[in-house]
Amino acid sequence: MSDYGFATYDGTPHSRLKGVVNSKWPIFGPKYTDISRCYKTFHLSDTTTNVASIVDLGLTEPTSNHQVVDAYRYYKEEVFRTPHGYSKRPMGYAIFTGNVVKNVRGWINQYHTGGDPAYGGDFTLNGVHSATIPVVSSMQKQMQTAYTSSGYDPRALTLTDSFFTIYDGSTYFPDGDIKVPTAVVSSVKKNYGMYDGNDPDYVPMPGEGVRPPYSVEITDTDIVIYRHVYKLEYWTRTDSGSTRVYDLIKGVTDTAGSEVDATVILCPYTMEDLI
Amino acid sequence: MAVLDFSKVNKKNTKNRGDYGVRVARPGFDAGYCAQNQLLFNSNWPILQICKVVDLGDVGILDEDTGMIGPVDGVEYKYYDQTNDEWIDELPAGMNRTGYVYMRDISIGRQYLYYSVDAKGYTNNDYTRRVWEFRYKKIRHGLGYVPFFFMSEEVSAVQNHVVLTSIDISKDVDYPYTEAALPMLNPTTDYGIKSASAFGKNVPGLSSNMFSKLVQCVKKTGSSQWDINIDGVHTEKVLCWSPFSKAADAKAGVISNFEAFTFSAYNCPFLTSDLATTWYFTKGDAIDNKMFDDGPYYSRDIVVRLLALAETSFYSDAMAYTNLYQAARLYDDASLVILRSPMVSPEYEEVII
Repeated sequence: MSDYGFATYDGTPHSRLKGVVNSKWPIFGPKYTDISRCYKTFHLSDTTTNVASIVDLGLTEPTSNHQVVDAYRYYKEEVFRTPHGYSKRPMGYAIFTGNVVKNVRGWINQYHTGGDPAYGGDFTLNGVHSATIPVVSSMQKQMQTAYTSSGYDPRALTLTDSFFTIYDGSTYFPDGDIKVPTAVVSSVKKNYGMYDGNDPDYVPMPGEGVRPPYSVEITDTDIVIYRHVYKLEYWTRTDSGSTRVYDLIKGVTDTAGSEVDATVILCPYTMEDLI
Repeated sequence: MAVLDFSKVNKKNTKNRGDYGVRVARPGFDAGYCAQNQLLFNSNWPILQICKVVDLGDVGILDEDTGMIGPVDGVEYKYYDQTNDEWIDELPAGMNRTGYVYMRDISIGRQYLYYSVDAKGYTNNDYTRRVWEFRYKKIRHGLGYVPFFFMSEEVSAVQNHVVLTSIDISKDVDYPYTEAALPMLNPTTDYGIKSASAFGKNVPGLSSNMFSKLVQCVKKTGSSQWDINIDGVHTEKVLCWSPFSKAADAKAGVISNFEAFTFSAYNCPFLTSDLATTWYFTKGDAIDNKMFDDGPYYSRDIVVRLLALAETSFYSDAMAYTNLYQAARLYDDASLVILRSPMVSPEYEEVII
């Protein structure tokens, strides 16, 4: 079977096949006769907002001076599901285009016990810091946000509003939205990976700069689109004499306000067929 | 203020493929004379064909908390003696480990694919000798060019396979197709060409009934980079590309329909962006000049960058990409690859989430 078919050359003298076309190589893409089910655009209007104050990652109050207890976690929320209509799982991915609004919502509660109230006000602050980020598409199941030289670096979208820095210098909101993940199971590093399965509490890939607001999964039966949410909880205690001042910070992201096209492309054969 | 005509940029490296090859017209049109958008298939189009799928096998489990990497079958080791500037086969005696980088990266050259697992740094007791250890898998693909590749994880639930395509990312090419996406063709079932594939009966070969992404362009830094000069002030050199003929179009629909990929290239297949970032090895370092096989080797980079400088700049109206990490040290072989769909999807659904 090595000499059937046809191929075209790139015109370079003495060249071997250089990949113009070869009749033995399958095209990666949808099939025209299937096109209505395997090449679809879903326009996502994101309206869901999160509330930072109700974030609860199970922390307990610090028990000693200068103790910090904190937790950072990603969550993957299913936001859309539709059957793809194939009898087995096709190869596929989504191209995300448009603009993502990334909202970082923060909440601080400072309180004290004992001693002089002047050493620690009892107050609560809420804040939101938003940025609109254009999206760069590439062949992967997650959305990639672009760097813009005149805009935000989405990797370091920090809460800079002054109310987050008016008191304790140790108070912070690391990276605003996302902490660099620390583990990855199987697969290859960088941004090649995908987030399979429906586990809402997942570990993303440790590729720097990959901060996907949305991702898609092609299951055996459905096309599923997820929104990615990051939650943070940070609790500190500072003693001054008999006064104990506690800072409890909670943060959560959402993408309310985003207008994104997710164009899903399904291939009529499976990866298993190729290997 | 400088004004750059991006229509000329687009055509700068247009690949002239002449008039040979295969053309299949849409029903009712003459394949010999009809326009591009009246064709169902043209072998001149740089379509995305799958040439080969490479199995990486067991690639282990990375746990960055514990610093352990699970078993990886079939790995090889290579050592670079930085002090003496030479590759050696074994770690010299009396060396102490000083550093560790998890790479787990794919580098592809004209004949081989390297899967770099990790790298370790060693010094002797008095720090007069430094040796780097690289752990990797080397797999021959034998295509004879540097293929655009993607991972099986990106398009399926199958892990640890590398999909190699027909597109050579080491050569500049612009595809002179229409600028606006076209309406989808009507489905045809009994028309056109279809061939068997090299992948068995479940996978069709070249078929004019398959809808392919087109490679809009491959841009290399050596020949397609442009200085950004804003009012005479030099900023940096970037790969530059735009599919738009009018600035207003670019503003309206920045990168709709397009997919962007960046690749870094080094002569040494272990010198991926991870290693360069961590240990500051760069293109042209001694280690990079120790050519492996037939480099250079290309690895996917993580970040593409959308340049939108001052509103008054022409760059606010067009797209340019640069590798973030390599922005200050561009080299000849880095590539930008843009894919596009030539036709818009026929199905469109509004979803409030």
